[in-house]
Amino acid sequence: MTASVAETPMAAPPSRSRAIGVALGSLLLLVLPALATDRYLETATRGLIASLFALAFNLLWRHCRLLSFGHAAYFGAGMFATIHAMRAAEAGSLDLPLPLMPLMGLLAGAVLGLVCGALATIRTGTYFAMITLAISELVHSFGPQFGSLFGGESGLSAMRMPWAGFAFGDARQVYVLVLAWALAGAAALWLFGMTPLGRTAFAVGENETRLRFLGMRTHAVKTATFCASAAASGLAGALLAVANENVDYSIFGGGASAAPVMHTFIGGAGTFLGPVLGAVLLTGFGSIVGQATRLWLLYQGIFFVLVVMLAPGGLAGLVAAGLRRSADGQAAKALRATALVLAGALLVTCAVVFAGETLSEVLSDAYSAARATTGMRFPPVERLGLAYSPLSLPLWAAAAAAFLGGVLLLRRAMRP
Amino acid sequence: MDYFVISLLNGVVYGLLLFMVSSGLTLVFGMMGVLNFAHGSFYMIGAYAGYAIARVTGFWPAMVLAPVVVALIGAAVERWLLEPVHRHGHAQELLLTFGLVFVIEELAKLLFGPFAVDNPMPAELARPALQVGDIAFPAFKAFIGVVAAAMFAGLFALLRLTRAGLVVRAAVHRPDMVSALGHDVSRVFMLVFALGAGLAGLAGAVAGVFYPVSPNMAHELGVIVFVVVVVGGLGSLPGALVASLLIGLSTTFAVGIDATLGDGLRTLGLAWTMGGIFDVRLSSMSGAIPFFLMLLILLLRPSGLLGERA
Amino acid sequence: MTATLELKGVVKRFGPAEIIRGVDLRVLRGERHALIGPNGAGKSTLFHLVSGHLRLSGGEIRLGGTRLDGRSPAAIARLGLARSFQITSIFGGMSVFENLRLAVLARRRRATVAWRLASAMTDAAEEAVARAEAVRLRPRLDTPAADLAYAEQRALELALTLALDPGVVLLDEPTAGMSAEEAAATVDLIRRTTEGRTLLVVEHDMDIVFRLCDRISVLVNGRVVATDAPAAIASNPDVRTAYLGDAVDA
Repeated sequence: MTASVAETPMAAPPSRSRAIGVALGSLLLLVLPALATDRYLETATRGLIASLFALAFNLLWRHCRLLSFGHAAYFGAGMFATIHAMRAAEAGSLDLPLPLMPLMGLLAGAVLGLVCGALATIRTGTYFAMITLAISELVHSFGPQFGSLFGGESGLSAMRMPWAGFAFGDARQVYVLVLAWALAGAAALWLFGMTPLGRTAFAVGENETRLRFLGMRTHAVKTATFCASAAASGLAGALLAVANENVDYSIFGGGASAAPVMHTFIGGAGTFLGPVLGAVLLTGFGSIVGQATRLWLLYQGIFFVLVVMLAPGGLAGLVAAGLRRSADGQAAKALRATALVLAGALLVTCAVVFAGETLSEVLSDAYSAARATTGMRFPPVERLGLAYSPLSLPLWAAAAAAFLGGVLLLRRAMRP
Repeated sequence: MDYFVISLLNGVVYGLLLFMVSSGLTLVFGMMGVLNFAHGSFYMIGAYAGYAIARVTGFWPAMVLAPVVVALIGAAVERWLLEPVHRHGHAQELLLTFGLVFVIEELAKLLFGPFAVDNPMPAELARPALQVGDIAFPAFKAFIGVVAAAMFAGLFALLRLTRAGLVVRAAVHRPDMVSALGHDVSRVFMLVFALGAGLAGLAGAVAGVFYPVSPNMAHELGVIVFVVVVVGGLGSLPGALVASLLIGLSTTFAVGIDATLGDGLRTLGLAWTMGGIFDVRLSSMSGAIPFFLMLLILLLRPSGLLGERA
Repeated sequence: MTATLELKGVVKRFGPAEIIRGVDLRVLRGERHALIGPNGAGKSTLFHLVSGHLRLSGGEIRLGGTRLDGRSPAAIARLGLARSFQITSIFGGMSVFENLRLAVLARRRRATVAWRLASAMTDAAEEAVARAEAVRLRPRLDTPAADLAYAEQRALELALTLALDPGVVLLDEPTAGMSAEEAAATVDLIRRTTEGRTLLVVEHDMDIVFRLCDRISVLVNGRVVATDAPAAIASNPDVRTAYLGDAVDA
């Protein structure tokens, strides 16, 4: 009797489609070193780290409904702690094999998370978001001051020391090490949700007041969850330190804090693996698109805003809704919605990329030079393999129409 | 003594600048319950707009036009981006404005380049406004102070003396009552949001005279302004004023203090050589003061100096 | 008879407004005590004060010999005083089973265990099922609490409160918003499940108060004007003019 009722919604065995997805994903991760070149393996390594970081961030949001905009502090603490430990190992003053170095990051994240979490979780909601941001800014402002700790502008470097016959000199061995830790971290975060503490943390997000009247010290629950989230963030930072062998204080800046937020909500905060989807997608795209255009961050920001506006459940939410429809025998409807989303996304992408790239070209130095040599005020733009006038009314009208049409299609597709 | 007077003036000017930005933020929060992460971005847009318009119209008309442009952008953001997300809850609104920060920053980089633009100061502001002993107080700082004080007076008059101000104050208190009284709440929201954006834009245009106009300025000031509203109490205008001045003065005075924590302890007779945090000059830590102040307030009075008890 | 819950000179001010103006109240061990009074008399405020949701402006509250005032809601709940809410307050995104297991784990001080899976705690699970059974929610175990019917949510609210196994139970309008049949069933449920406990109930429906309770206190304008057995209260002329009169005429 108890065996059946003890299964709770979050602890329930994964549905078949999710099980297949997880199995396929794990298989891909394991065979990747045999298939991919070093460059792609490095991207995959960064994707794994970003995934773990996003999962750690989402632990707080998914359970306690706390939005942290300053998780870079714990990620960075993990990086610096690991680099210092690696330097000590290099100097011979610390006898810790490289595969265990990430534990230092975990510890650093946990300690800093315990202190900052106890402070930040005094408040919830908007206040909490602002406090986390301010704490990470405070840590950032320390960056230039303590040279021996943060290494100033140039930062600190360390070497991966060989251990037990592994040199950790190539991307493959680093990938395997990061993969092992990332999977362990993700599994720990998944299990956290099924412990009594994890369930109680979830109840904090549901109804904190009621929980107090059940005799729970909710501040302690929130602090513990914050600490767990910070520890996992520190672990992710440690993995980046191991992969990069270098860190400087700019890691405490706003960009690193924004990454897990964007990954999580683009991927979908409501499902456990949603943040992974976002992290993998954006890291992958960033590495490919980042080479082709310098506007990648702009496109990423616009993408994020569009997802927040049109698909509050994120991409995983869309996938889940589609799968649910198919399971309910509405496969045709699901297919139509998918087609609408793809068509809408394509139109919006074309419009945004056209506008962005054209503007970027017209404002570039090369274009100023072209102006001088041709003597025209607006010589044709050569971009995306085409040559066109930057003032072409039909092109801009088409772009505007594509943008509006795409947004309408997307809105249409989101309607139940 | 001269140094003290000048620091006092500098601190007040910086504080008033902070208030120009934080007043709009706290007004919008009090009414709509939305923390606008992109508020610092409006400040930055104001600076860039002031710079760009001044190149066409000259300096003084740009100071009038830039805030108007930013207010219009603010209205558009509220109507077309924020409004549709409203039904998904505050967290989603917060995320939207968070995303806008990055979009606006990248747009600024695209349009004006990644570094600070060369924003010349008009000649009439480049000379000293008054002399205290050996130290000159420059006219552009006096200008920032005067504009901020005028804005404060104008905002106060608007909120206290006009009918529109009455509606806004009522809306801050009880948004549901305003719709019950027959006012179009979504229109009031849009106007207040535009007003807040315009104030930030004005602050940006004015500040651009002195501070470097770069894509970083949104983030730099934006975070300090968050600290101001937490310290003052979210939604409280008087709180924002007090906190702005407090932070403006404390950071300005700290910049001038070259002592270290270790020096302080040594004068107390604790004479040994310490390292680390004890040897960092207070002046170089002035950037951290607002954050320490915030943590202190958080522990002692979580709802802020003049905030209502939660 | 010994008083389990005792209020002495309790005062609560909000700014200049004095809502509770010196309440003295003795709730005896094992009795079912009703708190009645017109709207705005301060009944809910008094509940908030006793349960630690609001701070006192003056006076003292004791549970057994222990001072309650100044303690947090969590501390008060751990001392054995549990309350329900007038507006249903449950964990909407969690199943009925999880709601109850949470309360059971909270009482057993096991709700923050981080080194075992919740599903491994079979004794807590069994108790949660039994508690669902007691309020007739057994068939709804796996239903998210937010999807329950209103009367079912009220039953869950009651079960959450009782899962703390409290010596003293505060129920804030347990039948509010229910049909006559639902209310009658709820009264039976309360009678059955609070057997042997001390009960303090805020209730508007006089029928229910007279059927359920041993003694009644009447709160008017922030003061207790009478405390007595139901029959005596019904015939008390002061009470009739202050409160019951209006209700009877209406």
